Amino acid sequence: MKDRRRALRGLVLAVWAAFFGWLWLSGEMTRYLGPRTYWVVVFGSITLGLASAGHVWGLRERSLAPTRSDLGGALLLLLPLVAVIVVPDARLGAQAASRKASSGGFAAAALIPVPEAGGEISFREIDYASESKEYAVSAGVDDGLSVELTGFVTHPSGGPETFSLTRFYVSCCAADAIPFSVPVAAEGGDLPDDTWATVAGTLRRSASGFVLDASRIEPSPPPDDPYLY
Amino acid sequence: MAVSQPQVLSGRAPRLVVTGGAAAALLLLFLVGGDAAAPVDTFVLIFVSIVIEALPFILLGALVSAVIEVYVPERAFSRLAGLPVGLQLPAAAMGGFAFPVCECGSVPVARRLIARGLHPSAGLAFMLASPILNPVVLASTFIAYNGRGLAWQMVGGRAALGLVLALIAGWALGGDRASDLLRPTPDDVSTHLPPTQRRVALVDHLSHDFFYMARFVVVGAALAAVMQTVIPQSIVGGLATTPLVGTLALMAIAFVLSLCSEADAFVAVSFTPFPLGSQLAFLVFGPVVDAKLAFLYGATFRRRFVLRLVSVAVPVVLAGSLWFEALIR
Repeated sequence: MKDRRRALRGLVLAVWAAFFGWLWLSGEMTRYLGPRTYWVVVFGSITLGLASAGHVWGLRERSLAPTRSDLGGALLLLLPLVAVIVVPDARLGAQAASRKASSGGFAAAALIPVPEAGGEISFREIDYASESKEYAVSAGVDDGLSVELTGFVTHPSGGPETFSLTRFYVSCCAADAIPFSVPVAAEGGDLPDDTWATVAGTLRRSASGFVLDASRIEPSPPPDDPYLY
Repeated sequence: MAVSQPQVLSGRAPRLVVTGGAAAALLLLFLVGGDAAAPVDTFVLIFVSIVIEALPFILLGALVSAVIEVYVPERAFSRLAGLPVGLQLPAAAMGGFAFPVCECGSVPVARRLIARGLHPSAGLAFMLASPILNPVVLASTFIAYNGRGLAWQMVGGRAALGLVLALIAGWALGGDRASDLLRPTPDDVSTHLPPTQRRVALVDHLSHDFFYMARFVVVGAALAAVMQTVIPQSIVGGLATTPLVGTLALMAIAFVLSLCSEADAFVAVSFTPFPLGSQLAFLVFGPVVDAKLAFLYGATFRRRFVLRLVSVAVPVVLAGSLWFEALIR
């Protein structure tokens, strides 16, 4: 092996190809991506693997040593993988929800999508129904509707609720995740941020939108796929 | 003819990469070391997810760039370069309709096209148009807005404003010579090579472009993740009251988020308090200027390119989106 520069680059590509392969086979891609972009993981594992193989082929054709810039660039490219190793079970939680833009509180009724008839009532539908009476009627969201939601606990300031139950909706990746929260009124007391729980109860329309009056609150493990779509 | 080896570019770019990478690493270590598990989780998820999405497209762009360099004969570019700019510019911009790769992939391709002889203005127009006009992006825009019955309006508005921006920015910033626009880089290889050497050269060029561009995307993704972790996006929610302020606010958010243009419509559609024109500005400005692209442009083009591009893109997108808002009301 004379061309160590090419070998270094081939190695970095192989590591990335292996990471994509692991994301694909382990199902860990759901942590970072939404279903629309799962194909990127498959595509990446194959193309990066092929590119790595292309680098290995021809290693003996000339003698080249990696420069300092090559080494620095390779280390930089491996930085995301170091981050994954250091924080393998990273999740978006209450802190992320406090930073990311939510549609809650400022949705314009005219722009809210038309609900699917008989569709599932979840975080997004309740949030939209809070903003638009027309949507609420179409989706069948009304006072007294029984729902059961699983999410993590957040505490947006200023609301009348005991806490809020929140889930992120993802389109393509965690960078575009949007939090949707449902305020929960719980007589049993508060729960700390990021506690995953299943809350059952009935919806009640308040001045600021629907509140879930909890009849049952059970701690639950985080789901395998933390996002909704 | 001997194959000269691609060199890593000299100048400020490598220092920028090292500095940015070191800053990101230090920030990560600081956060891990302190009592800040939640921000670390947020940072790592956003940082890694942006890189995961971008890397395969950079590789694809680098492959197309390498094929252009090694397999497209010199005479093809000579003929292209001989065409009047007034023809090259719109033809290159319209070429974006046929190149289904987002912004990370279009930069190395544009750089290679300009280096091979395409007029710099035309190369820029292609680079700026393809992340907006490509069919995957327009299809995702259609799907995102279809639920609101606004699919055709938003697709048409995005394509038209994107095309106009690419033409104006290409014309205004391209200049006459590639050397005035591109950072200096050795011309890697001759195209007149025997087949075996061409295959080696193809891998060399792919490797060169991928490793050079990818490190800047990593730094840009880290910057975008830091901003998403630290800055509450709700602070711009109150700016949605007027189209002018709302449009500027959503352009700022587009810069911070650094979303892939194939995904950004699903985010734009959630900005319901903002006028549709402001959402259109988000969809046109983001694929042209964002945090990760700023680093990528810095690696590709000469100094102040990003500032010059912003100075053209902001007024064009602002005017276009306000006009769109007036038309659609």
